Order: sequence, then C-alpha cells, then structure tokens
Amino acid sequence: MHNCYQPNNCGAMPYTMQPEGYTNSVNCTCYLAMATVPWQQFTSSYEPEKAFRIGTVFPELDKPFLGRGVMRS
Amino acid sequence: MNQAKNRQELFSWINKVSFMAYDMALYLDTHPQDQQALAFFQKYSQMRRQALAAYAAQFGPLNMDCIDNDDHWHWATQPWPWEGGCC
Repeated sequence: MHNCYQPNNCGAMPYTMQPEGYTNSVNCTCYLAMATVPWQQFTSSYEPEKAFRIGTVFPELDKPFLGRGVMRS
Repeated sequence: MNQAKNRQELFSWINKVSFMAYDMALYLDTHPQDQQALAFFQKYSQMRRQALAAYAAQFGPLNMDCIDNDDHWHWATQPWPWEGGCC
C-alpha cells in the first residue's frame, strides 16, 4: 500500500496508518506533526457587497489565495 | 428597461443577503451558542425573506415559498430564464 497519493510530489502528503505503524514505502519525505488551529470568534463582518465578492463574511478568513490567478477587484 | 435593471439589482441583492445568511449558518454549525452570530443570521435571514417577497410581488416567485395563493399559477406564465426572466 502506498503512503502517498502522488508519488512524484508527495513532500506534504500524509502517511497512512497501517497495522505495523506508519510506513513509507514510496520513499517520500513525510513527517508526522501536530497541528493546532485557533477557534474562530465572530467579531466583525464584511458588508454584503464585499462579502459576496470576496467569498466570506469574515475578514479573518479573507486570505490572499491568489496562486491560481483569482480575480479580485 | 428600467424595470429590468431593478429586477437584476433585486436579484443580485437576494444573492448577497442569502450569502450573508448562508455563511453565518456555517459558522453557527460550530458555534451554536454565539448570540452575536445568531442575531446576525436572523437579521440577514429576514432581509432575504423580505427581498424574496419583494421580488415575487414584482416579478414572480423565485421558489416555492414565494408562490402566492391566488387564482393564477405565475410560475408557469412568468418569463423563463432564457426569456430574460432571471438574471
């Protein structure tokens, strides 16, 4: 069973849990990690025009996801 | 033409206030006790209902909740989207 879904680009792909533990049969450089995510608290919001255009009501979730040429005006 | 513009603006406004309510609904899924978020949702949910009712009164129903109980089935006789009936 392969650990990585994309053998040629698996630097960030997860290990797969197996009975004997975590294995790395595809020879990718994956590392275990612990992630923590802060709990969102609603404090402010965009107005409808901007929220609809941006794609979120919450300013704290308005991230610059521009890697694929997203158009924003 | 003027009416068409108003129609498009009203339709656009429905989309926007609906988005406000939907996005806050997602937040409320994980924060069901957040009173500020609940008030926000209720505010935009009410604005959405009002906008849908205003649209239905002028241009015809957009969904089943907007269909009036009168003697005519407007859904079938209002313009279809390809006839300019929707934005």
